[in-house]
Amino acid sequence: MSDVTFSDNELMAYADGELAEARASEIDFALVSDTALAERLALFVDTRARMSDAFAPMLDEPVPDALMQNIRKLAEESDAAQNAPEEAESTIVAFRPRAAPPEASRRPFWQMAVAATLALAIGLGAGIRLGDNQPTGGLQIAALSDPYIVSALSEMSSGERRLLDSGSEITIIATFLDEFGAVCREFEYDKPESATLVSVTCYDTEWRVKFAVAAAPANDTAYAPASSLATLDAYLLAIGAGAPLTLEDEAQALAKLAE
Amino acid sequence: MNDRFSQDLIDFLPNLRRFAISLTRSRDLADDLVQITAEKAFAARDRFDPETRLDAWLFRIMRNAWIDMVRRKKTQGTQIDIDDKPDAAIVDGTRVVETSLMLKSARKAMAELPENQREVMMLICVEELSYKAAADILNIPTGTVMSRLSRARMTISEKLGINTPDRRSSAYKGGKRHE
Repeated sequence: MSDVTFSDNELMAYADGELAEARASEIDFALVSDTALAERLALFVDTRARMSDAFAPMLDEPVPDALMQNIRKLAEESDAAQNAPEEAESTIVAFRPRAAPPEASRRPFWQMAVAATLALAIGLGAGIRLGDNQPTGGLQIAALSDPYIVSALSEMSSGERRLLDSGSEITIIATFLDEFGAVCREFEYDKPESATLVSVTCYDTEWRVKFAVAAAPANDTAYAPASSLATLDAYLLAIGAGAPLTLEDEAQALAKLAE
Repeated sequence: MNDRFSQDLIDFLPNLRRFAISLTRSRDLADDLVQITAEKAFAARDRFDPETRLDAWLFRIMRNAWIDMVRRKKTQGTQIDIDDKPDAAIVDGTRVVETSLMLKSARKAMAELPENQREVMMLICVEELSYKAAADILNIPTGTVMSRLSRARMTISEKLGINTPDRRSSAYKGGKRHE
């Protein structure tokens, strides 16, 4: 028997190769004579081994051709952009973080981002009409003039969907902090007979739209294809967006804004 | 610059796909998730620090993408068990993979874990990442990683009957050391 006791956490860390060397050596030594200890350890070693074995064959599965082709294409495009940065300026690559001059660079950056995404939204031909009978249809959203949106942003949890009195529908996707700690919310805004807008707003004394893009055509009930959200992803990366908050953290963050 | 990035990412696709299958519990959804992860990774490649581990970086992107996918698509209700479908390799006919009952029951035990325990088990016991790397990927403290990991193992050992006296003598070869 050993006169040293080891906690379950230490045994688990030992099984996973995480225990500090000195302590691991003590366990090595104790295992020689302590069968009860070996039995406790076996649980951790065996669960690891069984799971490792069970999932090993998956690595031999061929990656489906379609997926592989898509990713090779992405790789080629990305490699080309790496080698020709100037040419890439007018594309999505423009959202990449760049070495910013100190101060004052933030505001122009937002303006550029919003301008570029509006251009993209129009370019998609996805149903935002800036002319004709609805001269400001898309821009009203950018201004967040609908009071229902504002209260929805302050009250709703991520994953919730709400029908607004205007007949539009809003779905909150996620809440996160940007690199400066501002609370930001990603949401989808569905207006009848119009495009689904995906937007990011951040709070500084009030909700401000930082990003908006048309993600799906008006008459398509399907969800936005992931590829059309690449701009959003690039944007989120550019502002240093953290991982989505848990619902609890989100509730706390929203409560703080209301104070 | 970053000359190896694309090739390294492509080489790592089988692991990404495996983690995606465990997150989504569906091969079809998993392939969507891998694709989304690759899109995000290429869009952000300038932000990847070559001094750090690409695997952990990619897993982190994938895991965040999965959270986003669940919220966006309300996907959770449509998940299917990973063993509802035969292994792709068998359907393929190009390779015979022995999927023994043992492997199946182990995969089932994994699939039945709560998601937050499943992801730590996959990252640490299957992908062989360190506690620290898993904590970074999941954005939680190392202590939380350990408590989830421990709970996951208790459940798995009960389901698989691992801690019965008969199994205790299974060969122990010593834990691997990481980093």
